[in-house]
Amino acid sequence: MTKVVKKVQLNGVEKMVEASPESRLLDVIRLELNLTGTKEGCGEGECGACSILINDTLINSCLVLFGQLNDGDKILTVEGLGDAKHLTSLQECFITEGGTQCGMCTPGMLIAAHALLIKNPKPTREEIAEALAGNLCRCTGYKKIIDSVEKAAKIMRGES
Amino acid sequence: MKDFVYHKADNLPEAVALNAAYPDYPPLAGGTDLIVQWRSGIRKLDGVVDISCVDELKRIYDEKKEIEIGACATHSDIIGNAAVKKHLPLLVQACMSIGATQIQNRGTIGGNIMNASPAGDALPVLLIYDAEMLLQNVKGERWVPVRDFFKSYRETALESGELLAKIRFPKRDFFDYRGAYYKIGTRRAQAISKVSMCVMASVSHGAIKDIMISLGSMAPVPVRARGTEALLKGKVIDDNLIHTAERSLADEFNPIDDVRSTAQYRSYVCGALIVKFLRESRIKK
Amino acid sequence: MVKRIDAYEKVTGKAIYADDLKFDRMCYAAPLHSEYASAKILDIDTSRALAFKGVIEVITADDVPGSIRVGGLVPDQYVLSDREVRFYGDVVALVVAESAEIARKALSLIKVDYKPLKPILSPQDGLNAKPVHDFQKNNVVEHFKVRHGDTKKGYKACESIVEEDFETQFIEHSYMEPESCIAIPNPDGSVTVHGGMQHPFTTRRYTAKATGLPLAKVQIIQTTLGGGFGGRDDTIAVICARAAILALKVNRPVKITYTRDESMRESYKRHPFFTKYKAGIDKNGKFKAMDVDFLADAGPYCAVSPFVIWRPTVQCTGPYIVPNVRCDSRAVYTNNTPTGAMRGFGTPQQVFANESFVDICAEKAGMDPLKFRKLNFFRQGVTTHTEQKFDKHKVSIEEVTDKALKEIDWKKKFKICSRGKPDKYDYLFGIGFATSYRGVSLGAEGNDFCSALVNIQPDASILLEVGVSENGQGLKTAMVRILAGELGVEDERIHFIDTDTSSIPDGGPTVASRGTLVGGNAVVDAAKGIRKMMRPVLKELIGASKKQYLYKSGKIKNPDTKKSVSFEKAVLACHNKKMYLHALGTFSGPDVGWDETRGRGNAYFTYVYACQACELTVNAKTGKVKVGKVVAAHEVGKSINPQMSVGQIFGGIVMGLGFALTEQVRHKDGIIQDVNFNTYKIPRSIDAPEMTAILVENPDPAGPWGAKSLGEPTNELMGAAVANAIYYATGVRFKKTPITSDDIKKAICSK
Repeated sequence: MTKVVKKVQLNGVEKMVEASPESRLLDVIRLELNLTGTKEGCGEGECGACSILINDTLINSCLVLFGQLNDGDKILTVEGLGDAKHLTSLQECFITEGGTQCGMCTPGMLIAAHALLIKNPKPTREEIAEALAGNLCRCTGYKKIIDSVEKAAKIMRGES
Repeated sequence: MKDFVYHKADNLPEAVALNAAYPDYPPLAGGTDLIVQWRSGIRKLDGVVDISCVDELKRIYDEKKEIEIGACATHSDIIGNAAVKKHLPLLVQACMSIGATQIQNRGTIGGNIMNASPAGDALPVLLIYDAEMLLQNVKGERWVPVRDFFKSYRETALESGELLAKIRFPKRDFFDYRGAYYKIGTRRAQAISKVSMCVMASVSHGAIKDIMISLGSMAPVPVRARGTEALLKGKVIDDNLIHTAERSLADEFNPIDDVRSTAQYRSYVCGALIVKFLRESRIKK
Repeated sequence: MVKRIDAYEKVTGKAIYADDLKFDRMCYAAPLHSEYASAKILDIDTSRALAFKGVIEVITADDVPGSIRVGGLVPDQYVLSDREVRFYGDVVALVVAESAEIARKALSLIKVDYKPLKPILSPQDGLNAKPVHDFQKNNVVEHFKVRHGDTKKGYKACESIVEEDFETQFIEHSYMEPESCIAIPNPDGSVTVHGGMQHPFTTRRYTAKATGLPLAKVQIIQTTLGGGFGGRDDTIAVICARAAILALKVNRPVKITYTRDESMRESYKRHPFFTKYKAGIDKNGKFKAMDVDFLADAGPYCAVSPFVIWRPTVQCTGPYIVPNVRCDSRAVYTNNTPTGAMRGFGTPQQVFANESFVDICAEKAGMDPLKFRKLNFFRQGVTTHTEQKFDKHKVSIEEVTDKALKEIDWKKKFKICSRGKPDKYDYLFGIGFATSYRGVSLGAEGNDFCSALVNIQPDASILLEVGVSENGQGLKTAMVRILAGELGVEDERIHFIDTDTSSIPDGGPTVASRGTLVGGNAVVDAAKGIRKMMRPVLKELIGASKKQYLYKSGKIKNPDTKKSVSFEKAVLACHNKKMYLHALGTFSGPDVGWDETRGRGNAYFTYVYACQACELTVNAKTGKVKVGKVVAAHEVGKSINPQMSVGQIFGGIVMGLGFALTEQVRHKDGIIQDVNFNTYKIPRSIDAPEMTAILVENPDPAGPWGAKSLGEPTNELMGAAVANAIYYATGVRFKKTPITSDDIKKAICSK
């Protein structure tokens, strides 16, 4: 199949991306763009390890084909959180609160949590759990991940 | 092996035309079912007609007498729509029970319908709200009521060359009705249902004036429980009636054993759900 | 608070897992799995796949240059199936191509002619069936026994005799990262494999055997591991061996990354157990005799099955004094998916049966489950049924139980259990708990030794390498913490090097919750070596002392003269004296031993104790269980990093809930049914209960800084705790895991 070119905003930077339209967006991100922070855990939309944002909407990149993108789409992966020198509060709190163990689910968890905090800066623990329900983790039992998000939200609201 | 064929439609006429021209390539909307089936090898795929970016198919129209939902509206679109919330609250509940946020943001109502799984979460709701499907092909269009739409296991009234474009729900006065949507899965989120039930009833002075019950995963297609409905209509809710309803509903269908549950459990649970609904209705009014 | 040293790269997406690696000229391979649980292979035709555009090579068993069979204890696992397939996940051929997608497409072009055979579907069937392997006499992989006292006599003195059967399911580890590795052929004929495995040295042995290369020519480098839980040993080792064969054959780097479906189809699972408990209780409520029988499904390959049934054999009574004990444990070959190590190593199965059984016995004896346990618990100095005297560590079973039950307020809540009578909203409430004791490390089942390399650079930065590996549990952080403490420097000064088999000796597998204990002790020993080397230089710098110099806060101090020097200066001085500050530390476990004929001996050199309690509600209408609260008290010796210890406990609890309630890998005629997370239901965020972890510290003389272990005991108690709570909620005793809502609803309806 002939490749197609899309102009996207990748982690804040405009970029021309060329790939086959039937390629999974996940593969394009990992193989063509060399952003390997986005992980594949199941390939079926069950585990959320490949979560990214398209135009601030949380999706599983294993279930989106490259052809489905539109020119001008904004894509955010874990590499686009924070910048070279500064971590976001979420990233900081995943470190300090023990929100990461093996780390395989962490990028997806961070993106899902980031999507939540865009919409709801003051979530309850239940709302956090609900927002992360599409992201599987086998190490932590989720408690410390929820702690991390709760703490980050507090810091972002200037409460701690 | 042939190269994969990818056609992308930019507007509705194009989508209809491409869909008609390439009957072997299924429409691709949210992809939450199609891509999974393709990648896991359950479904062979040589090409798709991508309709996911067609604006006309994504909109929700709040008309005077009805609500029309484009087939490519996502579950999140539906959950967040004020008109749907007001007139079709059970549809909102059903969409909220589908998958986690990632899936709700991507999966579409049209996909849920066209996948035609007996476990499709939104499908019992369509039966209760008397939804109609707009099917379009290059020659024209037709409306098909939901009761005629699901033919048999994973088979619908859609003919080759036709595309599901919209779902229309009449705005009806359900003012004195009470409704509920139940989904029982293995886990609270992201689980395909073992049983789902949508029920709506009008109860006055302890008596059932009208009741509609529809079920998912109890038969090859989503079904109305007409027998049990008839049995309950006009009766006063008491322990005896509740017991009758439980037995009747469990007896009305012959569900199957599959990887998610057993026939016996499904029968038990749909009986238990109607008991819950009737008890709560008795308390409410 | 101690930060994980690898957390920064994990939260920025920079951590490198095997599939994130890329090499020039890299190509990709994919496996062709068997279509049957058991069949003869009559013919394999690879010609069409070979002709497919983009395919570089297709290999079958004939292309394996070294040994076709590998294995840790018994070499019975086929690198590629030659004349027969023994389970549905056996690999018959491999395609290597320019992309993973092409490789997978080409798989369907390989034609295999099979003659299906009748598969063995259960260990019971296996006992009387034709052997799975023609070089074995029968299908019994291993049979362990305990014979202690005289059970017949014991039963005679009893008021009541209780007998129950239990059953557990296949469990998938569900590490979030599917198997992945890259093999690189080197110009000198050696091969390097990067991959996510728990034990690089197993991988090296398998790869060397299968390629025919000596160990020294196979280098295994461990990449960041996306979870292990015991599941990354044999399967990934064989996959690495295949990648190495391919890389040497096509002379290009070869990557194999599994899809989740491939991973679940091929990788080994937790052994299902069929367990029988029989016990005699005297009129005072004390155990007098016990018979235990474990029958485990080993699948077609031995793997570590003998060890997996040995541990529950040793611990068969649970933490209770039983004067007369008979135990028989057998693992049997079948054609189901292979089984091997998984977090707990035989004990989640045994503790589920044992601790459900103890509650049944308590009721029979007319006592509440706590009183009955306290009457029978191990005491300090007890001699157990395996004739080991517990006098070298603190027996803390009562301490952990009291702490857990007090925290959850068990006494009050036990009285208000529904016991089958739903409230007006149709809910049933129950509370339950389970206790365990557990041998630390490998015990008499393996050679317990490990090494650590400490290499101090002229600028006083430190390289640390340890023979056990990071599995995601935080081992690196613990090792760095220990070394930093031993040398009195800050953690940041130390750089941990991921395991490389060509630079550090084999430290034995990072299993059996032994990482901290054996690795930590080796680190302590290496630090001791460094301090010894520095002594003569320190003597010149800060004066002589008969005592040990004090290493603290980046300084080294003479305890007599109080003179001190900075660590950096001291290191530089050593360097200027042409001294290499480089030490290999070793640890070898205290003597343990096991007499196989009678089943007795000092099985493990020390033990840990735990109690987990949970409260839950059951929806009487749907049978659905909601676990509301869990309290876990674990005796750990000493916690090196409390935050990570607590994290291990929470993770273990939630994984245990999956075992108790929702997870099962089902087989139909030997064909695996659950190959992805759509039907294999591991708990999600919203399923996680409120959790409290209590760390009980009784420093152990055998551990580094008194530390013992934690990873596995956290995962062995939830099965029984949940089953007991469901019993007090519903009045129905479930003796099979998982306890599904279907089962509960059915039982409530037919009561």
